[in-house]
Amino acid sequence: MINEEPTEDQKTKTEQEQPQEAQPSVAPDVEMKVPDEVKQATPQKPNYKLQYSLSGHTMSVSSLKFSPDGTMLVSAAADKLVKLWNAFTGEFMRTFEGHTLGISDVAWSGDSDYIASASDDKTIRIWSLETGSTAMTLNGHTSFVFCVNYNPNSNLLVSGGFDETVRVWDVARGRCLKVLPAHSDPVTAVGFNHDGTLVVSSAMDGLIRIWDAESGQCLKTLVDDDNPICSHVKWSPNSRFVLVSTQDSTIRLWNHQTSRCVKTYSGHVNRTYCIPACFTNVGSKCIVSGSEDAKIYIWDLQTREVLQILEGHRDVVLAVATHPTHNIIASAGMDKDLTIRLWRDSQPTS
Amino acid sequence: MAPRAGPRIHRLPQRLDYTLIPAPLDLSLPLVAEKSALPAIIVTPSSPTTPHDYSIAFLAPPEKPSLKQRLTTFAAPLKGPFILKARTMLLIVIVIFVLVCHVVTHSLAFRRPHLEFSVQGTDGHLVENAPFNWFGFRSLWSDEEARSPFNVSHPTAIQTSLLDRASFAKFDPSGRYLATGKLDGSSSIWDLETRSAIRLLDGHVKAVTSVDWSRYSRYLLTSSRDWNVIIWDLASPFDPPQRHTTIRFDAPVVSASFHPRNSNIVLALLSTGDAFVADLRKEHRSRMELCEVYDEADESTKPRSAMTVARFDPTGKYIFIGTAAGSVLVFNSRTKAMVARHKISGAGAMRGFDFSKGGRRLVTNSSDRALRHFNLPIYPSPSSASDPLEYLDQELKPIYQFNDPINKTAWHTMSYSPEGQWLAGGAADHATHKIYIWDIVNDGQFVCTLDGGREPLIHLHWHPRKSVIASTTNQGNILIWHCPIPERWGAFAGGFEEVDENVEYHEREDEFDIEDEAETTRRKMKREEEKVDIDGFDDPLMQQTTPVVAPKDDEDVAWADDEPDDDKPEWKMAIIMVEEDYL
Repeated sequence: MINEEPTEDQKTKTEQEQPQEAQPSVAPDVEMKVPDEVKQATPQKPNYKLQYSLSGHTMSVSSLKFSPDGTMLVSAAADKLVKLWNAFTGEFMRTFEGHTLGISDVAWSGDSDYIASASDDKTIRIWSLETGSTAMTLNGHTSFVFCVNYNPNSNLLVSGGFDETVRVWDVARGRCLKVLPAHSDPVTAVGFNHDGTLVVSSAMDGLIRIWDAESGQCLKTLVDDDNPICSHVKWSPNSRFVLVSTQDSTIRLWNHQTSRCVKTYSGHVNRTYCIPACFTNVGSKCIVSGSEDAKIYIWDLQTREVLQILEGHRDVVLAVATHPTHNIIASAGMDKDLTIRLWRDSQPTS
Repeated sequence: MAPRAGPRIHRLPQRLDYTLIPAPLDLSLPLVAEKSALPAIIVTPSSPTTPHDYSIAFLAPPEKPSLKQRLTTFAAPLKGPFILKARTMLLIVIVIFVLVCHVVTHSLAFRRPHLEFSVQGTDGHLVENAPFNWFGFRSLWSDEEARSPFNVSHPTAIQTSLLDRASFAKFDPSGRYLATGKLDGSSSIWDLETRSAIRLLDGHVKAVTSVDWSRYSRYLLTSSRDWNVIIWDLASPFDPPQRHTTIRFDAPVVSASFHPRNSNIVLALLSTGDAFVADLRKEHRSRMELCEVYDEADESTKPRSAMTVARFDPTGKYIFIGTAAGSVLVFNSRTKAMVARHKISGAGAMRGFDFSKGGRRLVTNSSDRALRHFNLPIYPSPSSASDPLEYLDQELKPIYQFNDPINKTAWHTMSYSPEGQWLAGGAADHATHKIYIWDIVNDGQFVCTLDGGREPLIHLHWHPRKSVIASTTNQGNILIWHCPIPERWGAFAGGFEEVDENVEYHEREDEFDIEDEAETTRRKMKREEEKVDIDGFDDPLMQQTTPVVAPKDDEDVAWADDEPDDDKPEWKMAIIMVEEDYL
């Protein structure tokens, strides 16, 4: 399955990237003008710069994920392919072919050995990196599968789709363990919390539900007053909060125990597509999301201010991902711009 | 005539059983007749000036007699003969005395309410334990262990059953896996999340007698009647996993276990009644027998009694040995010297031990069909003792003793709940599958029996963290018991909360006021200024990963931690993909 033609899938060093030597000479000049007190009061602003543009997909890229060990980036697209890239050099590594329709989501297993992909052909495929082929095909969804995620032990998968159900799968045997009649509209995102005891799901019916992973019981429903379509949900690293993107151009951080929205992030455009938001994992805590105005927005987690806007894409940014150990953001989007971009913040983290 | 301003004085009948109610504004309407079922009199002043002068008089309901009145009427017939004669007084005093005596003796004799189970606290501990424990009052503030949110209850229902041919099943320390041993010499590992067998360990040629997990579940030990103990390394990504080590003994192995801190130290008990500690570490490589020490005077007369149970305590500092003569011997794991001998009177041969998590409590199963719960004393450290042969000889008295006085059922196994609040006993009944549960915190009170159907029970084990029990039937099936959470349908509706009882809702004064939108937004923004912590854990379960914390300078701990094994907390069992039809 390895794509032998390097011409098709390649990285291009962009012109925007300046030579490494030139950067330090510019940066101190700017900082000199800032008084010391002001500098300490304002948090260190992220300074992401475009590092690589990766091209290879022929249709819109729907999902990007860094591997848990940080070495690889996986991308899935409407062209039915899953592609694997080196996270640091942007080099193309391999293509996984097998789905018969476009792919909406991908997920890594905890040991970075397997990738699960959710496709419109109603199946989820688990790809083995070792063999480069499908290790398991999960059949059961009656409509498009839209989202998929592993649990922390990587022995279970949770998926959601246009059949409005959330399904829990036994990875080792490819069996469906539970079908939760979770929502009354397509399920847009599902995920396990840090210890695998809870599952969160969001759907186009505007609801976010928390489930007990063992029994499959619904524990809580979070709903905003004006009920906007929920396009993505993600647990905070300690599972105390969920980060919810809604199609009223807002991202909210909910405390799921008190059912209260504790932070609201806005400024970007999100009215039509399911655009995920994520947390940065290194340095100061930020929220990163794509936008329909072809930009990527970075907010400060605490102050909710927009810290940086990354421009460069020429179409809606559908997928963003943050690297687990480095200041790297990957982004990709709709088919007017088929590149996957890797942005890097090279300044030392405080 | 000028209208008067003040209230009018009526010439009303001089009766007090009227309630005056102001009339409706227009008396010509039939409103009054329709609304009032009571007989009503319209009181009209002789010369009404305004419509407000009309009143309606209702017949008031007769006033209820006061308590004093009722008492006097009730006591009226008694009044005559009620004279305090000396004889009457004496009779009353005798009756009261008898009642008081009854209450006192009853509370002393049967301090705990129970069904058919006699739970005898020994006299010595009776005073010390519960002198004034009426109706479990003490349990309201006592025992910090009972307050864990994860252990508010014991299992009550079967969640699932796993079809295996197991003769026993044991949870790993994380509680994610279950290891079973079978008569054909194989063992399997079950994943409790997917409820499927994920590994098959086939290495013995005769029945597996015990299994034990290492601290972080990487190594699994199996002992068998074929004289071998095999240590398996589950980190190897193959099925069946690699054998890490095989230890061969000179007789069938009855049970074997890892040292709680280091899987390179193995304790094994042979069917000949001898216990060995095999140390596999390079620097310490040895195999030592644990020998009971006798006083010189007894040595000639007393025959050596066979060892029937051998276990490390949860700290790993001591090895507890049960003998056929009904005593518990305590050895230091490092020096292998006997630290203490406890005689348990009336116990008969020891059959099994279980420790609570911290290792301060021990429950024994013995051939007299009773489970005894002990609080263990603190043993002197061997370094301070001058004479290596010196040991503590003390009779240990059980705090509680559990048995079945009616059926005289023996017990197969028993297991403490993770916080030591409950004790579960598996009854050795030939026709039923029964688990008895006692509440250790509430004076060892019998709580309930769990009935698992027709297949008799042969083994049980309590989950290390949750309120879950695995019990094995004689057909080799494993029943997983849990405590079901009631489904709350209110959870499906956002912003709704389910209440158990009807509550009268008090609407806030401003509840439906239309608020200034700018003001609400401003307030919301203000509230969102509050810092959030998305990384920190406050979950007590996260900190529980290290099982027993021991002081750093402890010699025994240092000995055990020397040359540690490769069993690390971050280790994870690899997922092996299997095609369903292949199985």
